[in-house]
Amino acid sequence: MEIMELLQQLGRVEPADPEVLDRTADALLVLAGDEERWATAGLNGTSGRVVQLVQGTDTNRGPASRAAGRTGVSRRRWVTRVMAAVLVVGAAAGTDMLLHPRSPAGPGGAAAAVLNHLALVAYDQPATSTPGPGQFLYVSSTEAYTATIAIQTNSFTVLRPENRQIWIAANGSGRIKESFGQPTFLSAHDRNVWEAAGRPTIPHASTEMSFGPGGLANGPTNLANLPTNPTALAAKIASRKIEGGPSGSAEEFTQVGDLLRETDASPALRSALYRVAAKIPGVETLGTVADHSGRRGVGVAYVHNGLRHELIFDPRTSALLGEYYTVVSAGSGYNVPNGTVVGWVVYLQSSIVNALPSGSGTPLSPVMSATSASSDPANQASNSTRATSTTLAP
Amino acid sequence: MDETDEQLLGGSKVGDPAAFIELFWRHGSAVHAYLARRTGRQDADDLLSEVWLRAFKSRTNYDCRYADARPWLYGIARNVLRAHWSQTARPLAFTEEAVAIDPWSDADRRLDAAAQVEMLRPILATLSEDEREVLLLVVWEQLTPAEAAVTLGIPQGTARSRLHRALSALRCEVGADSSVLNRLYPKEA
Repeated sequence: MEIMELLQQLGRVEPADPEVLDRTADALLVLAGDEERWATAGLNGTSGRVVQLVQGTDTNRGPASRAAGRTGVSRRRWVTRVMAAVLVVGAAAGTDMLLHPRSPAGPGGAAAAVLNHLALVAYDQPATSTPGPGQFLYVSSTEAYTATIAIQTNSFTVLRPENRQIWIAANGSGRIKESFGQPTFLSAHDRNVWEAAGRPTIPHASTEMSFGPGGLANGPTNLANLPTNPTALAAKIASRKIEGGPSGSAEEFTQVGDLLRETDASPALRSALYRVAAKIPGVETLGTVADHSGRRGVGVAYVHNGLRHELIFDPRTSALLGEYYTVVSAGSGYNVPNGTVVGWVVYLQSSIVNALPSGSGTPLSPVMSATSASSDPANQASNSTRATSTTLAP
Repeated sequence: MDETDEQLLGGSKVGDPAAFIELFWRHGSAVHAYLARRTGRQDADDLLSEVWLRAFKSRTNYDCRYADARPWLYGIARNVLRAHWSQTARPLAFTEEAVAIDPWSDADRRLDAAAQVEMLRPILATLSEDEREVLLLVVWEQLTPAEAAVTLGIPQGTARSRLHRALSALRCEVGADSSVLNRLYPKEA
């Protein structure tokens, strides 16, 4: 047998599985179609609708609970706490039309293609600025999470919009300011409970908390020590040496989100995080979706215990635009129809600033200074879905 | 009459996604084979999307002088492979370490032929990476030396000399006759 044949035999491979080809074609269609829509709609993904919020009184989210967690971690663990406090009456039947605009896919599927694409985009981004001495990473966002208020033997749940600002120094010290908007009832049932209880004032105070060094754990110092090799990063996340937490794919997805939000992760680290996410079993792509302010991006999601956690990225910069938490099936702990939004975030600005806002100094331990003002009780019921987004009081 | 690859890419540039999808259906299997030959079928499945998404993203870089998009696509696939290997530190599929997971071992291959093929692996491994890449693009992907030059981003003359060196080395090792050389190294204008 002559060398030509030998070489060719060495290069003989089975044809590609048609399913593999279909998958790639689907991913291309998603991205090609998205790009076309973006181009024709003239959307640039940068102009967020800034939501104006009203000031309120007292918060039911004490400073201790905030301070005990991490900036990102407390945010999502808080959702978990609220879920635990809600009575589970039963599975609610509801519309499914919002849940799966595109079919879910396992690792290596369309979601992986989207995330791997984001990884490429992320890698091409200019270097991230990190705060120098006396400087802070500043991130502002609008968001809403549920709050459950206990009334004697009963409780009701509202969705509370808020305006959040965070300043993080390189040593993990910093400040968080939050002001709250008009809450809306998660369901008619919640409104009924509130009315039966005599329409009590729903607390929502502005808060300002200062943190000493290390208080904001996902700060720049820790991120700089993370590996940017996706395999090594996946192993580190899996070992729970970054945040701790339970085992399982849901937690992997959560921790990827934690490392992306309110951080100055470098392009290489962001790229690695997308590649880690691409390999998490059960991650699905939602195709083109809009964040709560209407900015369009590509959505990837993970469903856990009946709740879909959605991350929305700008496909051209890979930046995290926003997030959604949506009830999609029984077991979420919320007694609401499927499709009900129980949390959302819109990221508005991320930059390096030279100073904290004027006001209180930087105590060694977390403190809260609440500004009190009168507020009207929530007066509207909202079955908050993506189709009927919550209206914030002016 | 079918459109050329260049026409398809021209279409996708101005926002016609269908044109790029057509390009994928035309060459998707070839790109998959390129990957599978070098890294195995499993990884090829995983990496195929990345190659094409990268191609889509960089389609404006396509040099319209070439009517066949394959050399350009292989060049992208090559970069994806290199990134993949740098992350996984996995051996090339034709080195001896990879024999155990060799995905293209045909069950019906004659034993003596199989033995000869296996002999080729270490010989290929003795070639420099530059020489091996040109050789395998020509033999496996059926590219001309000029097209291989496009894939590798090197001048045509360099590709030709590398191919020549690769074949000379193989001839020393295996004793290839000159007819093989003529077939691998076609006279081109």
